[in-house]
Amino acid sequence: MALLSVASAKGGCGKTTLSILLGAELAMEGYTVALLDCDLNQHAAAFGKKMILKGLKIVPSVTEQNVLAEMRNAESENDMVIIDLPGGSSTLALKALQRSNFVIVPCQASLPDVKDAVKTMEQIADAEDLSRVKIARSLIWTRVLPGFESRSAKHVREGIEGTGLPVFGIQQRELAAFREMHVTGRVPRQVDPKSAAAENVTAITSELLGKLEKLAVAA
Amino acid sequence: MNKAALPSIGDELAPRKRVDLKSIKSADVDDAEVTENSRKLGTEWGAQTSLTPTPEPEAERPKVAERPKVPLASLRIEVPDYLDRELALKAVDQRVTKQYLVMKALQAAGYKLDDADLVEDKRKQKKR
Repeated sequence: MALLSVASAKGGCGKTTLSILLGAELAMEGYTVALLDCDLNQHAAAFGKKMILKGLKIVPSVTEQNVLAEMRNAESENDMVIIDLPGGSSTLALKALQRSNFVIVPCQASLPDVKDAVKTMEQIADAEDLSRVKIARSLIWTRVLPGFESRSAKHVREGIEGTGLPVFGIQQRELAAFREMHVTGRVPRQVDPKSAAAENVTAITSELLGKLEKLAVAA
Repeated sequence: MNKAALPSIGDELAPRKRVDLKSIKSADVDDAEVTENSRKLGTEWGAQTSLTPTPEPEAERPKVAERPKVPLASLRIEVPDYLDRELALKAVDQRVTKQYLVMKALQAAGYKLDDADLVEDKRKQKKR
Protein backbone atom coordinates (compact mmCIF):
# COMPACT_ATOMS: atom_id res chain seq x y z
CA MET A 1 0.00 0.00 0.00
CA ALA A 2 1.01 3.60 -0.43
CA LEU A 3 1.05 6.13 2.40
CA LEU A 4 0.39 9.61 1.04
CA SER A 5 0.55 12.67 3.28
CA VAL A 6 -0.96 15.97 2.23
CA ALA A 7 1.04 18.55 4.16
CA SER A 8 1.84 22.22 4.36
CA ALA A 9 2.85 24.56 7.12
CA LYS A 10 0.32 27.01 5.62
CA GLY A 11 -3.37 26.81 6.43
CA GLY A 12 -6.05 27.38 3.78
CA CYS A 13 -4.01 26.12 0.82
CA GLY A 14 -6.46 23.29 0.07
CA LYS A 15 -5.04 20.26 1.90
CA THR A 16 -8.40 18.86 2.98
CA THR A 17 -10.13 19.51 -0.34
CA LEU A 18 -7.30 17.83 -2.24
CA SER A 19 -7.25 14.89 0.19
CA ILE A 20 -10.97 14.27 -0.28
CA LEU A 21 -10.80 14.66 -4.06
CA LEU A 22 -7.89 12.23 -4.41
CA GLY A 23 -9.43 9.73 -2.00
CA ALA A 24 -12.78 9.78 -3.79
CA GLU A 25 -11.26 9.58 -7.28
CA LEU A 26 -9.06 6.62 -6.35
CA ALA A 27 -12.03 4.88 -4.70
CA MET A 28 -14.07 5.35 -7.88
CA GLU A 29 -11.16 3.83 -9.84
CA GLY A 30 -11.50 0.69 -7.73
CA TYR A 31 -8.78 1.24 -5.12
CA THR A 32 -9.57 0.88 -1.43
CA VAL A 33 -8.67 4.09 0.34
CA ALA A 34 -8.54 5.29 3.95
CA LEU A 35 -8.36 9.01 4.62
CA LEU A 36 -7.05 9.90 8.09
CA ASP A 37 -8.33 13.27 9.28
CA CYS A 38 -5.57 14.69 11.48
CA ASP A 39 -6.77 18.29 11.36
CA LEU A 40 -8.31 19.92 14.42
CA ASN A 41 -11.05 21.35 12.21
CA GLN A 42 -12.22 17.84 11.19
CA HIS A 43 -13.61 19.04 7.84
CA ALA A 44 -12.77 15.76 6.09
CA ALA A 45 -14.57 13.86 8.85
CA ALA A 46 -17.61 16.11 8.37
CA PHE A 47 -17.54 15.29 4.64
CA GLY A 48 -17.29 11.60 5.53
CA LYS A 49 -20.57 11.77 7.44
CA LYS A 50 -22.38 13.02 4.32
CA MET A 51 -20.70 11.04 1.54
CA ILE A 52 -21.91 7.79 0.05
CA LEU A 53 -18.92 6.27 -1.72
CA LYS A 54 -17.80 2.66 -1.78
CA GLY A 55 -14.10 2.11 -1.26
CA LEU A 56 -13.38 5.31 0.71
CA LYS A 57 -13.28 5.29 4.50
CA ILE A 58 -12.67 8.50 6.42
CA VAL A 59 -11.11 8.02 9.86
CA PRO A 60 -11.83 10.98 12.17
CA SER A 61 -9.97 12.38 15.19
CA VAL A 62 -6.47 11.14 14.44
CA THR A 63 -4.12 12.68 16.98
CA GLU A 64 -0.41 12.97 17.73
CA GLN A 65 -0.82 10.05 20.12
CA ASN A 66 -2.53 7.59 17.76
CA VAL A 67 -1.37 8.63 14.28
CA LEU A 68 1.28 5.90 13.90
CA ALA A 69 -1.13 3.19 15.07
CA GLU A 70 -3.92 4.49 12.80
CA MET A 71 -1.53 4.54 9.83
CA ARG A 72 -0.58 0.94 10.54
CA ASN A 73 -4.22 -0.15 10.88
CA ALA A 74 -5.23 1.60 7.69
CA GLU A 75 -2.32 0.35 5.59
CA SER A 76 -3.10 -3.26 6.42
CA GLU A 77 -6.62 -2.96 4.96
CA ASN A 78 -6.25 -0.55 2.03
CA ASP A 79 -4.42 0.07 -1.24
CA MET A 80 -3.88 3.70 -0.33
CA VAL A 81 -3.80 5.69 2.90
CA ILE A 82 -4.15 9.47 2.61
CA ILE A 83 -3.18 11.53 5.64
CA ASP A 84 -4.77 14.98 5.78
CA LEU A 85 -2.39 16.87 8.06
CA PRO A 86 -3.06 20.07 10.00
CA GLY A 87 -1.51 23.39 8.98
CA GLY A 88 1.50 24.63 10.91
CA SER A 89 4.49 22.67 12.12
CA SER A 90 3.29 19.96 14.47
CA THR A 91 4.72 16.84 16.05
CA LEU A 92 1.77 15.00 14.52
CA ALA A 93 2.82 16.03 11.02
CA LEU A 94 6.50 15.22 11.66
CA LYS A 95 5.54 11.70 12.75
CA ALA A 96 3.32 11.12 9.70
CA LEU A 97 5.93 12.46 7.27
CA GLN A 98 8.53 9.93 8.42
CA ARG A 99 6.18 7.04 7.63
CA SER A 100 4.99 8.37 4.27
CA ASN A 101 5.97 7.07 0.84
CA PHE A 102 4.89 10.29 -0.85
CA VAL A 103 4.06 13.79 0.34
CA ILE A 104 2.02 16.29 -1.66
CA VAL A 105 2.48 19.92 -0.65
CA PRO A 106 -0.44 22.05 -1.86
CA CYS A 107 0.50 25.66 -2.51
CA GLN A 108 -1.20 28.76 -3.83
CA ALA A 109 0.80 31.10 -6.04
CA SER A 110 1.38 33.71 -3.36
CA LEU A 111 4.57 34.54 -1.49
CA PRO A 112 3.35 33.49 2.02
CA ASP A 113 2.14 30.14 0.64
CA VAL A 114 5.36 29.52 -1.24
CA LYS A 115 7.54 30.35 1.76
CA ASP A 116 5.59 27.89 3.92
CA ALA A 117 5.62 25.26 1.18
CA VAL A 118 9.42 25.52 0.92
CA LYS A 119 9.62 25.20 4.71
CA THR A 120 7.50 22.04 4.54
CA MET A 121 9.73 20.61 1.80
CA GLU A 122 12.78 21.28 4.00
CA GLN A 123 11.10 19.54 6.93
CA ILE A 124 10.47 16.51 4.72
CA ALA A 125 14.14 16.51 3.71
CA ASP A 126 15.16 16.62 7.39
CA ALA A 127 12.72 13.83 8.25
CA GLU A 128 14.18 11.80 5.39
CA ASP A 129 17.73 12.33 6.68
CA LEU A 130 16.83 11.33 10.23
CA SER A 131 14.75 8.28 9.37
CA ARG A 132 17.12 7.26 6.55
CA VAL A 133 14.11 6.41 4.36
CA LYS A 134 13.34 7.93 0.98
CA ILE A 135 10.26 10.19 1.07
CA ALA A 136 9.13 11.20 -2.43
CA ARG A 137 7.43 14.59 -2.55
CA SER A 138 6.04 17.16 -4.88
CA LEU A 139 4.44 20.56 -4.64
CA ILE A 140 1.12 21.15 -6.42
CA TRP A 141 -0.36 24.51 -7.33
CA THR A 142 -3.84 24.79 -5.85
CA ARG A 143 -6.81 27.14 -6.13
CA VAL A 144 -5.55 28.37 -9.50
CA LEU A 145 -8.02 30.76 -11.12
CA PRO A 146 -9.13 29.49 -14.54
CA GLY A 147 -8.01 31.46 -17.54
CA PHE A 148 -6.06 34.19 -15.81
CA GLU A 149 -2.71 34.35 -14.05
CA SER A 150 -1.81 37.59 -12.32
CA ARG A 151 1.63 39.14 -12.68
CA SER A 152 2.55 38.38 -9.07
CA ALA A 153 1.23 34.80 -9.30
CA LYS A 154 3.31 34.19 -12.42
CA HIS A 155 6.36 35.72 -10.75
CA VAL A 156 5.99 33.50 -7.68
CA ARG A 157 5.27 30.37 -9.74
CA GLU A 158 8.29 30.90 -11.98
CA GLY A 159 10.40 31.63 -8.91
CA ILE A 160 9.62 28.30 -7.27
CA GLU A 161 9.87 26.34 -10.51
CA GLY A 162 13.32 27.85 -10.97
CA THR A 163 14.49 26.31 -7.71
CA GLY A 164 14.19 22.81 -9.16
CA LEU A 165 11.71 21.62 -6.53
CA PRO A 166 9.44 18.88 -7.89
CA VAL A 167 6.09 20.32 -8.96
CA PHE A 168 2.99 18.62 -10.42
CA GLY A 169 2.44 19.51 -14.06
CA ILE A 170 -1.31 19.64 -13.44
CA GLN A 171 -2.66 22.44 -11.29
CA GLN A 172 -5.73 22.19 -9.09
CA ARG A 173 -8.12 24.85 -10.28
CA GLU A 174 -10.33 27.05 -8.13
CA LEU A 175 -13.80 25.81 -9.01
CA ALA A 176 -17.19 26.13 -7.30
CA ALA A 177 -17.68 22.36 -7.40
CA PHE A 178 -14.77 21.90 -4.98
CA ARG A 179 -16.53 24.07 -2.42
CA GLU A 180 -19.97 22.57 -3.05
CA MET A 181 -18.81 19.06 -2.26
CA HIS A 182 -18.36 20.02 1.40
CA VAL A 183 -22.04 21.00 1.46
CA THR A 184 -23.47 18.11 -0.55
CA GLY A 185 -21.12 15.28 0.37
CA ARG A 186 -20.76 14.49 -3.36
CA VAL A 187 -17.51 14.96 -5.29
CA PRO A 188 -17.61 16.50 -8.80
CA ARG A 189 -17.38 13.14 -10.58
CA GLN A 190 -20.52 11.98 -8.76
CA VAL A 191 -22.37 15.15 -9.77
CA ASP A 192 -21.19 15.45 -13.40
CA PRO A 193 -18.36 13.18 -14.64
CA LYS A 194 -17.81 15.45 -17.66
CA SER A 195 -17.48 18.68 -15.70
CA ALA A 196 -14.28 20.70 -15.68
CA ALA A 197 -13.87 19.94 -11.98
CA ALA A 198 -14.17 16.18 -12.49
CA GLU A 199 -11.69 16.28 -15.37
CA ASN A 200 -9.27 18.36 -13.29
CA VAL A 201 -9.35 15.79 -10.47
CA THR A 202 -8.92 12.90 -12.90
CA ALA A 203 -5.84 14.58 -14.39
CA ILE A 204 -4.27 15.23 -10.96
CA THR A 205 -4.94 11.66 -9.85
CA SER A 206 -3.52 10.27 -13.07
CA GLU A 207 -0.30 12.24 -12.57
CA LEU A 208 -0.11 11.06 -8.95
CA LEU A 209 -0.60 7.42 -9.99
CA GLY A 210 2.20 7.83 -12.51
CA LYS A 211 4.51 8.99 -9.72
CA LEU A 212 3.39 6.15 -7.43
CA GLU A 213 3.87 3.64 -10.24
CA LYS A 214 7.55 4.60 -10.31
CA LEU A 215 7.77 3.92 -6.57
CA ALA A 216 6.00 0.57 -7.04
CA VAL A 217 8.43 -0.43 -9.79
CA ALA A 218 11.41 0.61 -7.64
CA ALA A 219 10.10 -1.38 -4.62
CA MET B 1 6.39 14.89 -51.11
CA ASN B 2 5.45 12.02 -48.83
CA LYS B 3 4.85 13.00 -45.24
CA ALA B 4 6.23 10.72 -42.50
CA ALA B 5 3.64 8.53 -40.82
CA LEU B 6 2.46 9.84 -37.49
CA PRO B 7 3.35 7.74 -34.43
CA SER B 8 0.72 5.45 -32.96
CA ILE B 9 -1.39 6.93 -30.20
CA GLY B 10 -2.79 3.55 -29.14
CA ASP B 11 -0.89 3.54 -25.85
CA GLU B 12 -2.23 6.93 -24.93
CA LEU B 13 -5.84 5.94 -25.63
CA ALA B 14 -5.71 2.74 -23.62
CA PRO B 15 -7.13 3.04 -20.10
CA ARG B 16 -4.47 3.46 -17.45
CA LYS B 17 -3.50 0.10 -16.07
CA ARG B 18 -4.08 -0.46 -12.39
CA VAL B 19 -1.05 0.50 -10.31
CA ASP B 20 0.00 -2.14 -7.82
CA LEU B 21 -0.01 0.17 -4.80
CA LYS B 22 0.28 -2.77 -2.42
CA SER B 23 3.81 -3.41 -3.67
CA ILE B 24 4.97 -0.07 -2.23
CA LYS B 25 6.57 -0.80 1.12
CA SER B 26 6.06 1.44 4.13
CA ALA B 27 9.08 2.92 5.86
CA ASP B 28 10.68 0.43 8.24
CA VAL B 29 11.21 2.79 11.17
CA ASP B 30 10.00 1.83 14.64
CA ASP B 31 7.67 4.06 16.64
CA ALA B 32 10.28 4.97 19.27
CA GLU B 33 12.65 6.19 16.57
CA VAL B 34 9.90 8.14 14.79
CA THR B 35 8.95 9.78 18.10
CA GLU B 36 12.54 10.65 18.93
CA ASN B 37 13.14 12.01 15.41
CA SER B 38 9.96 14.09 15.70
CA ARG B 39 11.20 15.54 18.98
CA LYS B 40 14.51 16.50 17.35
CA LEU B 41 12.80 17.99 14.30
CA GLY B 42 10.23 19.74 16.46
CA THR B 43 12.99 21.38 18.48
CA GLU B 44 14.67 22.58 15.30
CA TRP B 45 11.49 23.79 13.56
CA GLY B 46 9.55 24.97 16.61
CA ALA B 47 6.79 22.42 16.07
CA GLN B 48 3.70 22.60 18.24
CA THR B 49 1.86 19.58 19.52
CA SER B 50 -1.77 19.42 18.53
CA LEU B 51 -4.97 17.78 19.62
CA THR B 52 -3.42 16.97 22.98
CA PRO B 53 -5.87 16.84 25.88
CA THR B 54 -6.53 20.25 27.40
CA PRO B 55 -5.58 20.42 31.07
CA GLU B 56 -8.48 20.69 33.50
CA PRO B 57 -9.21 24.20 34.71
CA GLU B 58 -7.68 24.95 38.11
CA ALA B 59 -11.07 25.24 39.83
CA GLU B 60 -12.26 21.82 38.62
CA ARG B 61 -9.19 19.89 39.65
CA PRO B 62 -9.95 17.77 42.74
CA LYS B 63 -8.14 18.96 45.80
CA VAL B 64 -5.54 16.51 47.06
CA ALA B 65 -4.42 16.55 50.67
CA GLU B 66 -0.96 18.12 50.93
CA ARG B 67 1.72 15.59 51.78
CA PRO B 68 4.78 16.71 53.71
CA LYS B 69 7.76 17.13 51.39
CA VAL B 70 10.30 14.32 51.59
CA PRO B 71 13.93 15.51 51.71
CA LEU B 72 15.66 14.80 48.41
CA ALA B 73 19.24 13.76 47.75
CA SER B 74 21.12 14.07 44.47
CA LEU B 75 22.54 10.88 42.94
CA ARG B 76 24.86 11.18 39.94
CA ILE B 77 25.75 7.96 38.17
CA GLU B 78 27.50 7.02 34.96
CA VAL B 79 26.06 4.34 32.71
CA PRO B 80 27.10 2.95 29.33
CA ASP B 81 25.96 5.07 26.39
CA TYR B 82 23.74 2.28 24.99
CA LEU B 83 21.85 2.06 28.29
CA ASP B 84 21.41 5.82 28.38
CA ARG B 85 20.08 5.71 24.81
CA GLU B 86 17.62 2.93 25.64
CA LEU B 87 16.41 4.89 28.66
CA ALA B 88 16.00 8.03 26.54
CA LEU B 89 13.96 6.23 23.88
CA LYS B 90 11.72 4.56 26.47
CA ALA B 91 11.28 7.84 28.32
CA VAL B 92 10.11 9.58 25.12
CA ASP B 93 7.84 6.70 24.25
CA GLN B 94 6.22 6.58 27.70
CA ARG B 95 6.33 10.37 28.23
CA VAL B 96 8.21 10.05 31.51
CA THR B 97 11.72 10.98 32.63
CA LYS B 98 14.77 8.75 32.69
CA GLN B 99 14.90 9.34 36.45
CA TYR B 100 11.42 7.83 36.75
CA LEU B 101 12.44 4.71 34.80
CA VAL B 102 15.52 4.18 37.00
CA MET B 103 13.56 4.71 40.24
CA LYS B 104 10.79 2.39 39.08
CA ALA B 105 13.37 -0.32 38.33
CA LEU B 106 14.86 0.14 41.82
CA GLN B 107 11.40 -0.11 43.39
CA ALA B 108 10.71 -3.29 41.38
CA ALA B 109 14.04 -4.70 42.61
CA GLY B 110 12.82 -4.36 46.21
CA TYR B 111 14.24 -1.02 47.31
CA LYS B 112 11.90 0.98 49.56
CA LEU B 113 10.28 3.76 47.57
CA ASP B 114 6.80 5.13 48.29
CA ASP B 115 4.52 5.35 45.24
CA ALA B 116 3.91 9.01 46.09
CA ASP B 117 7.63 9.69 45.54
CA LEU B 118 7.62 7.95 42.18
CA VAL B 119 6.72 10.82 39.86
CA GLU B 120 6.58 10.33 36.10
CA ASP B 121 7.76 13.83 35.24
CA LYS B 122 8.29 16.51 37.89
CA ARG B 123 8.43 19.22 35.20
CA LYS B 124 4.73 18.60 34.48
CA GLN B 125 3.90 19.12 38.17
CA LYS B 126 5.69 22.44 38.20
CA LYS B 127 3.70 23.68 35.21
CA ARG B 128 0.37 23.20 37.07
